[in-house]
Amino acid sequence: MSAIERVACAWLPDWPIVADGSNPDGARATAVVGGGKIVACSAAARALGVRRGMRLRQATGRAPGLELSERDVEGEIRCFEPVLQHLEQHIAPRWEVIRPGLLVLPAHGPARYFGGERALADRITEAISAVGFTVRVGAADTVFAAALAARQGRLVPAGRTARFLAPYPVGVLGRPELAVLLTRMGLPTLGAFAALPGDRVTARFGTDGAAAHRIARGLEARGLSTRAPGQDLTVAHQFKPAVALLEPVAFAAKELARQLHERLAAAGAVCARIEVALELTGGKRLTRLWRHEGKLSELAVAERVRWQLAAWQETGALADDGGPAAGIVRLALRPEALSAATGRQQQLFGASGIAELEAAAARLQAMLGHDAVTRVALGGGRGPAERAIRVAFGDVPPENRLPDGPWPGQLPAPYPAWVPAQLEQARLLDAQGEPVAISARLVLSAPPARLIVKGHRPVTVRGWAGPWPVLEQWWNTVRARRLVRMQVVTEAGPAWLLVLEQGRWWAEAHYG
Amino acid sequence: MASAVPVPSRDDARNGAGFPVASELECLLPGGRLRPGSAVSVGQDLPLLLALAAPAAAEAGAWAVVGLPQLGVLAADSMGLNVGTGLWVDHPGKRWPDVVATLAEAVPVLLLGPLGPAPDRQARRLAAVLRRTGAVLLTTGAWAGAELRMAVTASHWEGVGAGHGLLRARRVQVVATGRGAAGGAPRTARLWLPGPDGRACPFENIPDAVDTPADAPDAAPSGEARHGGLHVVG
Repeated sequence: MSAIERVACAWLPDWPIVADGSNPDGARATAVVGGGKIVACSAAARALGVRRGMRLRQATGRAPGLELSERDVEGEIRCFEPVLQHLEQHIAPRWEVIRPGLLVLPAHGPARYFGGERALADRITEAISAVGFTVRVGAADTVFAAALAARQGRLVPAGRTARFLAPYPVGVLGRPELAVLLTRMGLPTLGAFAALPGDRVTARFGTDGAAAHRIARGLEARGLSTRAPGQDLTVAHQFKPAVALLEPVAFAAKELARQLHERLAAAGAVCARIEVALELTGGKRLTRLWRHEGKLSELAVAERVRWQLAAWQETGALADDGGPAAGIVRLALRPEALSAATGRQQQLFGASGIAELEAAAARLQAMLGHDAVTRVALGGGRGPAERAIRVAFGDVPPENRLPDGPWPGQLPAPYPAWVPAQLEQARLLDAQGEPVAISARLVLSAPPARLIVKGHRPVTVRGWAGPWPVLEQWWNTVRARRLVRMQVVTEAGPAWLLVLEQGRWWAEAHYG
Repeated sequence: MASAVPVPSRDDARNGAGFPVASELECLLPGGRLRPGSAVSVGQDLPLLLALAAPAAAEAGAWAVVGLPQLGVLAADSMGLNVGTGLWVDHPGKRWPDVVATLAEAVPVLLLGPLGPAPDRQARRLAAVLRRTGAVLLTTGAWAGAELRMAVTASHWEGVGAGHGLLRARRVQVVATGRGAAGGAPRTARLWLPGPDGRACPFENIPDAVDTPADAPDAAPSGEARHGGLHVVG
């Protein structure tokens, strides 16, 4: 929590109406309709009582002369593209599109460059006015709060986001069921919801409720994964020869979107945004970030890529600087800002009981700490302990674990059932009571007779197998390990796995 | 409460006979199955714990292990326990009865390490949670509320001689005593735990014992079983 993220948000009000173009100053009562509901309405329509999200019949009831038009997302994006390009040239390159008309930008760097967030906001307003649109700019600690702040044109100071959010009704969370429930419980505002203890919220409302609670507290819904993914999840398609038409690219985008979601699912992750990158024959590269947050389906991603391609073509971005006909060489989709997906558990346990399991794990994590509840994955390695990888529940499994092998010198089955985290001190003695030594040629100084493991009773040795030498990382003077393993069976029954390293015996594991 | 929503698999388990166990251990349990809501103590023997847990966890889907960080993950895997579906709470601390009760709400099979005695009130509450949810408790060490106590009374590892061979399988004798439905005279089972494939297996199925010639003539030695896994040398 040392460095608070700052997010600036630019909101171009009523973008579907603006993009429609038939009602430039909003003087007539017009509305854009999608899926039987009002998506956006002009200022005049709003004055008559039409609201976003309202059913069509209700809207026409309030404003009988309402002019309606069907939503055209592609047109909205096409119309938005010049604005974006202008912003990228004049403000900062890393704009992220939540939807046409709503943009966010990591504000820390640009604000420092322009001399403060106020100056940054002014720059953004100027830049968008220059291309002939109105904009409101807001800033806060989270994307959610920044979008709300942009509606008021406010810059919420760092660390004050929770206070800014507190008076808002819970309905703004965009979770209707939760909102109804919270209102019935007498928690009508985000402030009241945020005041609940986190573990209780998790226990009562599940992980989605916990995410909403984090938002209400002025935090991002999902903590970013602290593990840097060792594996790049980018999916790409090369076009050979380069293509000039958009149809094959859009077709490839569909397949890439499918691959991307498969990879994310396999890694147990969701991404906050995806970067669409296009390479042209001249070496020119076009990129655009889209907000994802695990909410977009494959189809939705493919659609956005297609819209983006159309928008680039429309604005002439696809044309080479010198000549008009540049071909597309490569299309890549890159997920950014990974966090753990809750869908992975669904795969493991099936749909039933998963919410309870996650709730139980989250309660324990609230009680004992995040790392106290773990899952285990099997990886490569030689010793019994190093092959088990612990991952805190809800974290993305590391991709940089040891590979599957082959591992010469790996311990074969059966495996020990008791493997302490730390090696236990042990002494292996011969019949005379002298410690058993092993020569460089793997010859025992004497047959072992007694075994003493710290914390256990001394036992008589019945048989032994080995020694097997292991020389690990001999190329690295610091991490090099040279050791010898032996299986020792005792008279009483149990068998031990012993390790001799630098002249000392250790009990590495117990077979039962 | 989320737990009020019935989970089909667990309801079936409660109405039916409980969770299955390896066939060699069936004779030790009343009805040959782990009764939902019951606690079984396995003594100190972790392979026995894993052998009991594996089929139950496979049926239940989810399992958890509390206070047993030393449990061998590879052994669990080779015993047939799906390690990916397990929740591990290595150090539950002093509030471990709360931890176990919380888990029992959501996880049908629970493996417990040596956690010490629970205070009376908490032990009763835990027992009530188990009865309500039908979760099964498999514990190492003593457990006051255990319906069934198992112990490995004799064990013998095969495959290792004086400086040669490799651990291959373990012959064990398990004795179970109990109370209530599990009561009566102590019952005994003899089996391989683990067998050469890492799982529990019936006694007569492994003919070839390396260092006990008395057992050897029963059947032809299986070359694959004998040499499986000898690639360690080098």
